[in-house]
Amino acid sequence: MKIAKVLKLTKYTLLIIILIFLISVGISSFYASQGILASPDSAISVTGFNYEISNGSLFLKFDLHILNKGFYSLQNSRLQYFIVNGSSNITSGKIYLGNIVGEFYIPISIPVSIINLVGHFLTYNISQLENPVNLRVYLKFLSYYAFNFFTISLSSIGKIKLPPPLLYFNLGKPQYNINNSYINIEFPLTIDTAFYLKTTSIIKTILQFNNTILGYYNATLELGTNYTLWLKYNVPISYENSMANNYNKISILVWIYIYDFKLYLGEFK
Amino acid sequence: MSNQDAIKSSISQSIKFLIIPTLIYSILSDNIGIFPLGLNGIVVKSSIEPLMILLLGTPVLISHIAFSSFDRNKSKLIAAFVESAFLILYFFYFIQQGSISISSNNFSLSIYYGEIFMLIMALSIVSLFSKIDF
Repeated sequence: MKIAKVLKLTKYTLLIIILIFLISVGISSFYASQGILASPDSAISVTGFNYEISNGSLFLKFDLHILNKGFYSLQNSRLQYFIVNGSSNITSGKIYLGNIVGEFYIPISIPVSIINLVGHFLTYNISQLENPVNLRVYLKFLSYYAFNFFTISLSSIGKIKLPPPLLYFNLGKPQYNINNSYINIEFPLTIDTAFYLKTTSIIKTILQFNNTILGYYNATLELGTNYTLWLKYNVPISYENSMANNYNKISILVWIYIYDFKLYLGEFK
Repeated sequence: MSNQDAIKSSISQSIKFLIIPTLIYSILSDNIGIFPLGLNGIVVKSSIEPLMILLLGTPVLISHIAFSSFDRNKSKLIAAFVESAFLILYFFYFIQQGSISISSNNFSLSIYYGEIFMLIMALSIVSLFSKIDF
């Protein structure tokens, strides 16, 4: 057979392969477009998050719904996620989803380290802790289509508003009783923190009078719930009169240790 | 190949490699803006530039005119190799850049289809060599 004939045969074979391939991709894409591509915004919806706390992490959970009506599968599919708070990157990662044909539901669980979530807040002052945590969730669905001849990337952005880390903080009026050599003073401290801070923490306090340290009180504290504890100090009885006459000079300095962060909650008079 | 065949072949090449791709990408892309298809806040962008199609497609066309004007098989074979080189460059651009993105405020869809041009490139080169009477 002449070379020209072989080339002509190859040409027509290639032409038929390309035509069949393009027509089949066109038909498959048309059906696929009625699913995932028709409403890409809802196809990887980020609304309806559920939360779960486990081992120092907050798990953001949602169901991923993908509908591929085409007969070519979405191959080697992955879901990339980036969660940011303002300019701070909270977490990022990739979840492998495999090949997808037809309707597909998968429960997605994204772990967010609590330290990453609130760490940068804890370096600020207390007023920052009283602001809600606004997160942006960037989801990117990546897949190959029709024997890897097409690469599809579908992105969506969602918002999550978490309650402020510190919901309520108050130092109440003291109770005291006097024995032979000491005055026992007790202050009720109520603190309510967001559910995602659920952990055992340490609180450290200093009782001052006229800039003189009269006592220390440290205690453990349950976060993630409304919690009240009593700060207890024994003050020498010699301060009885001067404290009674200058009670406005009594102050308490409070620090709280949340995970690895030492947070100064302020001076309370 | 007669002069008439050569002219026909050159016109066909210029339609295939210059006019149709330029028109398709001009119509599809909002970033080029001749006939943008973007509707209801949806923006369609193609990474293919019509200027690049013209820059890479013109040498293909010129080499094809040369290929068509030669009568001797040896000259035609050399011209076919030259044209193949330009075709590879031309399609390499599509293989690298062949993507389209559709986006609105809160979603974006990108489709990369460059690989399909490998098949079309193979077809174009085989088709070119099949015109030589070996």
